[in-house]
Amino acid sequence: MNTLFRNLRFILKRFKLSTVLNLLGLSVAFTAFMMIVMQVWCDATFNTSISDAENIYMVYSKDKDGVDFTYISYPWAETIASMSHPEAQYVLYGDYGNNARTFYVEGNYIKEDNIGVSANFPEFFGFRMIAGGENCLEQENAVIVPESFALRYFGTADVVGKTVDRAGEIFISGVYKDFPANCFIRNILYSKIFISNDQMKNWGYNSFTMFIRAGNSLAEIERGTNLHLQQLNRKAGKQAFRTSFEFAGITELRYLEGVEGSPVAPVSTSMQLMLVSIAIAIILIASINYVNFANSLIPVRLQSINTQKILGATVRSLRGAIITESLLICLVSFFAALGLLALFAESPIAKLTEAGTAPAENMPAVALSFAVVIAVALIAGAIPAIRTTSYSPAVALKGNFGLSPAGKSIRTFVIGVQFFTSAALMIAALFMLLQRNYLTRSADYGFAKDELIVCDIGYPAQMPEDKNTVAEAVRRLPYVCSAALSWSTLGESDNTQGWVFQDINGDNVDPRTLFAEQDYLKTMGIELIEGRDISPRDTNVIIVNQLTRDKFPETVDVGRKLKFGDWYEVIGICENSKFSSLRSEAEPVLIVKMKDYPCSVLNVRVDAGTNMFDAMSGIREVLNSFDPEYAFELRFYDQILDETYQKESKLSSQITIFSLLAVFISIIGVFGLVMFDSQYRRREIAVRKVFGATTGGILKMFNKRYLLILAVSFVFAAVVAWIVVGRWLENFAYRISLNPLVCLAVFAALAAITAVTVSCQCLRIARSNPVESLRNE
Amino acid sequence: MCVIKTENLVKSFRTVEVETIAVDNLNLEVDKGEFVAIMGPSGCGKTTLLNILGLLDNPTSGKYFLNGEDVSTLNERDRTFLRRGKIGFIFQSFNLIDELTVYENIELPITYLKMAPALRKKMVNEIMERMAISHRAKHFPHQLSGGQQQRVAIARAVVLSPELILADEPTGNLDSKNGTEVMKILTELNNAGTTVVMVTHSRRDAEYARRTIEMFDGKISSVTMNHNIR
Repeated sequence: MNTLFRNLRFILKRFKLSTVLNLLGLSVAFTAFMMIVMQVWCDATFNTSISDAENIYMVYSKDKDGVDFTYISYPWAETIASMSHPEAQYVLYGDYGNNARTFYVEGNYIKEDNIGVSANFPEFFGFRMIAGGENCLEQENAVIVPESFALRYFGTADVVGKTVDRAGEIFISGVYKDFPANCFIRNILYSKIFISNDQMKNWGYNSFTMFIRAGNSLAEIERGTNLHLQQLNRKAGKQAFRTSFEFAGITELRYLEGVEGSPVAPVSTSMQLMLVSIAIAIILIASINYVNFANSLIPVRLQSINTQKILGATVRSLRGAIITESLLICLVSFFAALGLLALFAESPIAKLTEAGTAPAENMPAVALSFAVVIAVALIAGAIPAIRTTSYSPAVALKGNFGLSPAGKSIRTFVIGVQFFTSAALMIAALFMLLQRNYLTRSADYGFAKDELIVCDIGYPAQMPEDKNTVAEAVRRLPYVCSAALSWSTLGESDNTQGWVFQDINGDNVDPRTLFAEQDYLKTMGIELIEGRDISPRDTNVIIVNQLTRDKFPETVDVGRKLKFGDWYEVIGICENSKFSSLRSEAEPVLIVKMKDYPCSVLNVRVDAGTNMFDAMSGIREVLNSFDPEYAFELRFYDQILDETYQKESKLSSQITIFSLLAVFISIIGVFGLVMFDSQYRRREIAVRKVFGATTGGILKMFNKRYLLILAVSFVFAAVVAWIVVGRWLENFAYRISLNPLVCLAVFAALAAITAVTVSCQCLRIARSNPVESLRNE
Repeated sequence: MCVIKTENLVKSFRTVEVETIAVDNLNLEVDKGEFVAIMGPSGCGKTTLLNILGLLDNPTSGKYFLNGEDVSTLNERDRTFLRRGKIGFIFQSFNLIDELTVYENIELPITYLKMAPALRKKMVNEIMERMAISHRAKHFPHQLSGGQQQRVAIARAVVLSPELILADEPTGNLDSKNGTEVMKILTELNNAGTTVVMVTHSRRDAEYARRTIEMFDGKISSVTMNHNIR
C-alpha cells in the first residue's frame, strides 16, 4: 500500500499538469455521463411513481386525417367509462397549453400554473395529502397546492384555508406532497374543472383530456368504445371526424409522439439513443485518454517496475498495484464528479435535464454510473498494467517499445474517434442553435412580430368585465396604432382549440379555432386577402385563412355562414399565418368573434420607431389605472417565442454543453497523446534537429500529423452530423437549410484548438537542446 | 586552411551548488582534410567539445571559428542553418529514426534543404550504393544488424558531402569486424577530402587518424602525430 501511495505521489509530483488534466478530464467525463444517465433514467421511469400506474391509461383519438389528439367531450368520457362493468373510474384534465394564472399571496401577485381537473383527481392518482383530505377539490373555489408552493410562499405547509386571490374567494383546501420531476403530474395548483351544462350534453365540445383506470377491462373498454364510435359515425355521415379511440398507458406517455393535447412533452427514442451514444462516447474518450496517459508513463516507470521484479515482486502483484492505482484515480474523479453535480444542482445547468443534478435525488443513476466507473477503472488500468509488466529488462533498456506500428495505429485510431465525436457534436450544436434562432428571431410567422406588446389582463380583480374598455383606453395612447383582444397568444402554443362548426349543408367545418375581437388582423399585422377585419359592431363573425377556404371551397367564403349553435358570417379571408409553433405546418384556421367569449389577451401594436420600453411603461400605466396594485406582465414577441421553443432551446443547450465537453475531453486526449508522442520521440526530435530541423519544423511535423487525423475524422463526422441533424430538422415544418459553411467553421475552430494544444505541448521539447536527449551515449 | 579553430574555449555547466568546467580554455586547430582523433577518460570533456564543434551547443566563453567565421555566439536558429549540409554526425548508438526506412533515414538531412525530388533520389541512391546498403532501402532500422545500422548512419552523415564529419565513438557498439569496416569508410571519406574529427576510447581506432589529441579535465594534455596510419 505504501508503494502504491508513493507511486501516486511520484506521478503527481513529476507530471503535475498532465495528472491534473487527466483527473479533470475524467471528472468532467463522469459528470457528463452521470447527467445523461440521470436524464435517461428519468425518462425511462416516467410516471412510475404514480400508484397503480400500470392500470391507468390516457385516452386519445385519431381523426380522419390521421392526426392523434386527446381532446374529448364529457358525454364521450361518460360513455367510455361505462363500457366496463363495473364502470371504470376516470378523471378529466383541462390543460389548454396556457395555464399560467395570477394569484395574490401574502400581499404579492405571483404567477403560477393552475389546471382544472376532476374532483377525484387527487384520489385517482394517489396524491399524498399533507393537509386536507382527498375530497378537497369537491368544494367550489378550492385549490390544492404542492408542499413546495406552500413552503415557498407561506413558509409552512400548514396553509389550508389561506386565500390566493385578492378578493379572498379562492382558498387552499389541501396540500400535497410534491411529485418527482419524471411525472406528468406537475407540482402546480389544481382546482375543480368547470363543466357547463352545454359541455355536459354537447358531444362536440372536446375540451378535456381523459385518464381512465382500466386494468383488466382495457380490451373490453376499447372494443365497446370503438363499436359505439362506429355506430355514431354511421349516423353522423360526413360530419364524423373521429375514426377511433386509442388507449396509452401512462408509463408509455413519455415516448408517445405526435398526440396533440398530450400533457407530456414526448422524448423521441432517436434523441434518447443519441444521448446514450454521447454518454458512451464520452466515457470511451475519457478512458482512452487515461490509457494514453498511463502508457506515456511507461518509460518513466519501467526501471522501477523492473527493479521490483528483480527484487522479488511477482508480476501479479505489480499488475494489481497498477490496477489499484487506476481504481483510486477513477474513484477520486468519480467523487469529484459527484461534487460537481451537487454544485450544479442549484445552478442553471441543472435545468438542462428534467431530472436535475442532485445525486441524492438520482441514486439509481448514481449507482449505475458507479458500476461503469469501476469497469472503466479496471479495463483502463489493466491495459497499462499488462504492458508495463510484460517487458523483459533487455527490451526495457532499448526503449523502443512504445513505437511499434500497431501501437501507433491504435493511438491514431483513438484520437480519430475523439475528433470524430467532438466534430459531430459541435456541428450538431451549431445547427441546432441556428434553428433555434431561426424559430425565435428570423422565421416568417406571417404576422408582424415587431412593435407588438402582449399582456394577459384576465385575472386582476379590478379589471372591468368588458375588457374592451381597457383596450379602448390603450388605443388612445399616441404611439399605439392598434390594439386587439384575443383568447390566446398567437404562435405561443401548439395546443389550439378545435371547435366543430357546420356549414349550410350540415357538414363539419373543423379547422383550428382562435377567438379574437375587433382589429385583430390589423393589430397582428396579418394580411387580409378579401373582405374585412373584425369591427366593434360585430357579434358573431368569422375570418378564415386561405387554407380553410382551399379546404372547403364550396361552402366557406366571404358572405357564407357557419353554425355553432348560432350562425356566424364569414367576413374575411386572411393569409396563412403561423397560428401555432413552427413545429407544424400552417393549418386551416377560423378566427372567431363570438359574443361574450372571454378574450383577455391584449395585443398592442405601437408605431414603428417607438421606443418599445417606453411604450411598455405607458401601456402598463394605463392598465394600472384600472388596477393600481396588480403587477401586469407585458411581453415582447421575442420573449414569447423564447418560451414557446424552450424544448428546442433546452435540447440545443444540452447538445452545446455536451459538445463543448467532448471537445474539452478530446483536447485533453490530444494533449496526453502529444505528451506521449514527444516523450517517446525525444531522441528522434534531437536527431532531426542535429540534421537541420528547426523548432518551427518540428512543430509543423507534429501539427501535420494531428491535423491530418482531424481532417479525416472530420469528413466522417460531418457526414454523420449532416444526416442526424437533417432527420431532427424534419420535426419542423419550418426549418433552416443545412449550410456547409457551418461545417467549415467547426473544422477551422477545431483545427485552431488542436494546433494550439499540440504546439504548446511540443514547444518545450522542440526547443530543447538535442544534446540533452543524446546524452545517453 | 583551418576548418576548425578555437581560442580559449570554455564550456561550464552551472547548477545551484556547483560549477563544472567541461572544457577549460581549449585551443585547437584542425586543417581541412585532416583526420583527428580525440581521446581521454570518461568525463574529460571530449563529447562536450564535439558538441560545440558541431554547433549543437555554444561555448560559455572563448571563440570558435568554423571556416574562418566566428560562430561562438550564434543563436540556435543560425547554428541550425549553418549546420545544414556542412557538418555530418555519426553517433555511437547510430540514432536512426525507427519509424523511417533506411532510404528515409538517409534522406533526412536533404529534406531540410528543399531540393527537387529527383535530385534527392539520385543523391540517396548513390550513397546507398557506395555504402552497399541499397538492398535494404525499404527496411526499418530494427531489421538491420549493428554494422548495417552504422553504415546507414554514415550514409546519412555524408549524403550531402559535408566538409566536416564529427564522429562520437562510431565503433563503440560494434564488433571488431564491423568496427574495422566503419573505420575504413571514414578513412575513404577522409582520403576524398572530408575533414574528420572522431572521439574514441579505442587506441586501435585512433591509429586511423593522422593526429591524436589527448584530453584530461577539459584541457588538451598531449598531441601525437601518427606516422603509421592504418
